[in-house]
Amino acid sequence: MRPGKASRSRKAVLIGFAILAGALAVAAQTMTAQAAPTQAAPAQAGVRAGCEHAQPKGEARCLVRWRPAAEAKAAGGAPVPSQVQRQSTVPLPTVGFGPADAAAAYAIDSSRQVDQTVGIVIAFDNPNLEADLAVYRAAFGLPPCTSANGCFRKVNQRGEADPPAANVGWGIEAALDVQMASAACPTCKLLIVEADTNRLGDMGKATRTAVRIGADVVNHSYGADEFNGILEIGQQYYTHPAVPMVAASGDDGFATASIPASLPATIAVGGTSLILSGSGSSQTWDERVWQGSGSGCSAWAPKPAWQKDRNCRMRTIADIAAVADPETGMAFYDTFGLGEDAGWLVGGGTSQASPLIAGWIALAGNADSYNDARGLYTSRTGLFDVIKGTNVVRRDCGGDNLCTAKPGYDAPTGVGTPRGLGRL
Amino acid sequence: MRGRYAQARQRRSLAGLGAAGAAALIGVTAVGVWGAAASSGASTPPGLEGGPVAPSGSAYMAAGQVNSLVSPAGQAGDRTVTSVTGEKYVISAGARGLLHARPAQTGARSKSAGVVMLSGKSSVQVIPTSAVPFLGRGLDLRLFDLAAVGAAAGEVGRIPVRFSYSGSRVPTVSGVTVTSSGNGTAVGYLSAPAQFGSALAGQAKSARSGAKAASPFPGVTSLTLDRGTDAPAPVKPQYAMSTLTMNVTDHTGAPAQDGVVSLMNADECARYAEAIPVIDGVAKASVPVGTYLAITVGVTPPTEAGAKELHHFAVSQDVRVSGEGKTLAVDLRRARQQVSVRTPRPATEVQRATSIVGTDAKGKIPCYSNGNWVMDDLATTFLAPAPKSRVGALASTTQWTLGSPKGGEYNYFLNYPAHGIEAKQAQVVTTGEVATVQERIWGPFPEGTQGDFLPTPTTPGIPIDLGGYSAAPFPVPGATVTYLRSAPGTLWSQYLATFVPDSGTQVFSVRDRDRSYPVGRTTAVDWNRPMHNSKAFSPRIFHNDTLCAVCRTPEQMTIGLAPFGDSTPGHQGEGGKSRVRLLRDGVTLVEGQAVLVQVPVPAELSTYAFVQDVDRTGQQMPFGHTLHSEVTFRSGASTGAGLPVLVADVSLETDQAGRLPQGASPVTVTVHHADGAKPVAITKATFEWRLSDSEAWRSLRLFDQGKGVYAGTFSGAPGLVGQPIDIRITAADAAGGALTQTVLEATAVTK
Repeated sequence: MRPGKASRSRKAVLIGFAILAGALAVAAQTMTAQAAPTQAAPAQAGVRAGCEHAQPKGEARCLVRWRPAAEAKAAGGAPVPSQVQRQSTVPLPTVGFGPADAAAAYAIDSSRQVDQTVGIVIAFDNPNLEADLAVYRAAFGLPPCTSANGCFRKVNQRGEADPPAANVGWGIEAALDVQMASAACPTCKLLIVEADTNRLGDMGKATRTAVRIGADVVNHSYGADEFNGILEIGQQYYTHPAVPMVAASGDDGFATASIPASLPATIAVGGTSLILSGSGSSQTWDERVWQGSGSGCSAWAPKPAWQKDRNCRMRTIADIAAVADPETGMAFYDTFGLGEDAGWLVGGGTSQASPLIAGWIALAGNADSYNDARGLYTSRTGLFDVIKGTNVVRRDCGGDNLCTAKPGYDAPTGVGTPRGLGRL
Repeated sequence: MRGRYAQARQRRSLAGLGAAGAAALIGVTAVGVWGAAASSGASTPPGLEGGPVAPSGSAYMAAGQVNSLVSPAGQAGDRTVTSVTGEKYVISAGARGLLHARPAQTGARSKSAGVVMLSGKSSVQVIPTSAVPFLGRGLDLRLFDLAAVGAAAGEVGRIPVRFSYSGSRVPTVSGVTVTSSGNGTAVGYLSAPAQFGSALAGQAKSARSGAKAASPFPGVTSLTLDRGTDAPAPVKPQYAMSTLTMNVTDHTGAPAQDGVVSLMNADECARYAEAIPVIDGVAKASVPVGTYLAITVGVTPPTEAGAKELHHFAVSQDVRVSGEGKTLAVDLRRARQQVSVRTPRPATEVQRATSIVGTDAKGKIPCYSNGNWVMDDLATTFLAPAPKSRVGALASTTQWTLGSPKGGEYNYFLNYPAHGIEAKQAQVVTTGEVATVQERIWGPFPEGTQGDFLPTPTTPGIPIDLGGYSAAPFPVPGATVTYLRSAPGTLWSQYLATFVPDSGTQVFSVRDRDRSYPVGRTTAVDWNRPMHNSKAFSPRIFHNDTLCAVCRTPEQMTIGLAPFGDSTPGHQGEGGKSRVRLLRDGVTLVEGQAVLVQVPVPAELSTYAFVQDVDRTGQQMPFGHTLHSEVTFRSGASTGAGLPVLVADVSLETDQAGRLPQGASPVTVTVHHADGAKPVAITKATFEWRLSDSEAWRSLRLFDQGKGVYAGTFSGAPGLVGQPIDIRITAADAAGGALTQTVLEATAVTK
């Protein structure tokens, strides 16, 4: 289709930059009006991103990846959830891991009763969030978590009830976040704080509100490439002693470090592919690096004393990991604005791993012991070491642990994945 | 908002104007490759018509095809891989780094009816036609990626597979040994690839006979190559990271408030190539130690209404970042050279693109660029001069389109490529340095149709050409003048797009081969002038390409005719359908919908016939929609690489509507061989015509002018006015080659 006169008369002055695969690729790829590099997450059949990668400076993007359950099932190879409540009257999932699978994979006793509140910081509103959460919890036999019973609370960045504008992409993120936190910690309360926009200033204000009104741990399933000023943002909004800040590490593999994950006081969560083999009592779980798992060496945050990896002199992300591969992802339910795709979805991205970790930290009951990620590094016990796979998408790290799984610490999966709650 | 220029440029790349660009962009180029047919009368491989091999006879697909036809035998790095169906192939890097596969044994016949090849830079899929119906429906394409198969098989040589299944029992997959299973997934390896291939072929046969082709193996919902997940990661050097701090000063000496640094590792840009925002004068990056190229732009917004944005560019070269980190000062006050141009004839700036491109020390392909792109003269650009880089390479250019004040009368397309960034950026164009092209666009076209030229320069030795320009549109049919300016040795590929502005509908487009235009002289070019026959593909017909598409190796033949376009040699058009058949000694080797075929052939001397039926209804031509060509030639390994395919160029003095005048008009038939063929004497040419509703052909007497040129005179009698006329041309050479081309309703006689 050729643009007509109207579009030609539009004024355009564009600054462009791009990675070039060849001289002529410039023509198709060079020009963007935004100051963000064109990065590609690993291509996976049918998997969508909740938010566009390129965002203007200072704006975050959500890190959810998803595909409709029907497509995941048709593609084959996706996991089947266990302990689905067949007697339930709600729509039921047929594909994707469920809470019991995650608990089994990570040796978590999720029957613990705790009085903890998981804060979820998100941009914009998902008006169906509570209703969709009810379907999810009913389908998997989790206790109801509603506004009426005081378990579910959703506020804007000022702590008030008026929601900001709704947004479909961020709505998917919100649905995944609250449901993964529920899967990890079924008895936790959920406090959703919706920022007015996806600007980091608003996200930061929402974070402060979450802490102010009662979150014991706060999840951040979003990120932005580092830029000048992030340390001030971190100090102003993301430093809360005794309230762990848990953040997704990014979905673009080894790349520029993502904030808030790279901030000094944040726990950065990378991603894995989780593979179930065998059946019945002979089931075994295996994990390897999910190729999209964000890792990087910060240009701004100093090296914390507890990180000993030698090829990055600054803060390295991630610190810990959990399942994030959309092809081995968790089932979740979202109906807002998705048209014919509304319903059960299969999730992924480090957006999925982060609320799982946040929920397990809450479930472990030690949230107030965290000022940063230091506690995760104190011993190797209570962790599964992920030693296979790389997260090379576009940039290579030369086989170093910045992009390659190794025994012990590696950036794509941090110290590893939880093995029970002991390390958390 | 990408703008019209953006869309035009994108369209060019995606449409295959630079097929290599398209290939690089999407990572794969389709190649039509059929194996030898099992018997005479072989039919078109099932599932291929309209598919990747047969894109409705698209000449653009042919561009992609030709790009991937190179088969450099015996190069270092070749490796042999056994496919999942048991055939052995040699993988090697071909043109533009695309992987290429060829049978490991000379003259080996595929057990499959044929294969489709898809070449990418890191993949080469060789798909048996028996698998095509099942792709995406149970069979994963990765199974046929020889690069992936080879990597997964490793030194052990076992091809690992994984399949999902329905039901409680693990189904049997012929040729596959299952090593573990559970939860609907089984993992194993191909223990008998040939058996697997035979089973696949059997299922394909069933599918062709009407059976449902949901999956090739009962109970199996999907089958894919296992990734060999336990394979150790390749050993590579480790890159220690360090912090590069860039303090950016704007053109006034203050910290730059807005801008971007395009930063690339000049040793190997796979290690690092990112864009870093400049905020409050600072940009920071964590990078592997090494040598860097930083291209910085500072952006200053207009200070008052009507003022322009200011863009200042400066390059920092050979920046060595050690393990201790590095602080780099970038002073945009160095960017004092304003980009400007003055032309001999009055012209206004339609668009301008300044680009600065870095290439690393390892490759010839640019890794990273920074530049601006200005429409309607809305920004002022300043550059700081820069020499050549010591590590890697730096190139720059500013490209302009400037249109005549009235619009459409003429356009300047100017290109100033350079190694580094030259000190002089105020360009003054002289008449003596431009090539003038008188463009004449023939019709008819729908009312209101406009044309737009998009020339693409290729400059030798400077990897900077960014693709096409877009001109001020002009009405078609009609005429316009194009002025071209670039560095010496530049080849230009012209592209004419026609469209109806109100609807935005593209009517028709034609592209030209790369060619040089003499500076200081005028060249006349006809566009969309009716083409009366099909011509042979020739070397360099594709942008920046040197491949021969009418050639053979001892074991393989490539042949195609170019049926779409116009009468100007080198012009390729869009639209239409082409069905081809290639026979050897009367036996069909391959048949299908395509413009070009590649097929294994024996070394011995044989007689080949290439038959092509073309429907050019989609072209914006008044006549000549139906063509039939038959080319016969003798070929063997001993006759050389260039095939002695006869080509005839028919020249009729028609008007712009494709009609002959009443009375006498000259007819010229020029007969030659496809480029690259050994010289053989042309012995005969004939020209016959008939009214399209009659049976009898009438001969037009041709006079041999020598060197394959035959001339005659057509008498457009009053009785012929308004009646369509068919044309048939024949030609022969001294080596037994022959050509017959028939064009139905080729022309008519006007009043």
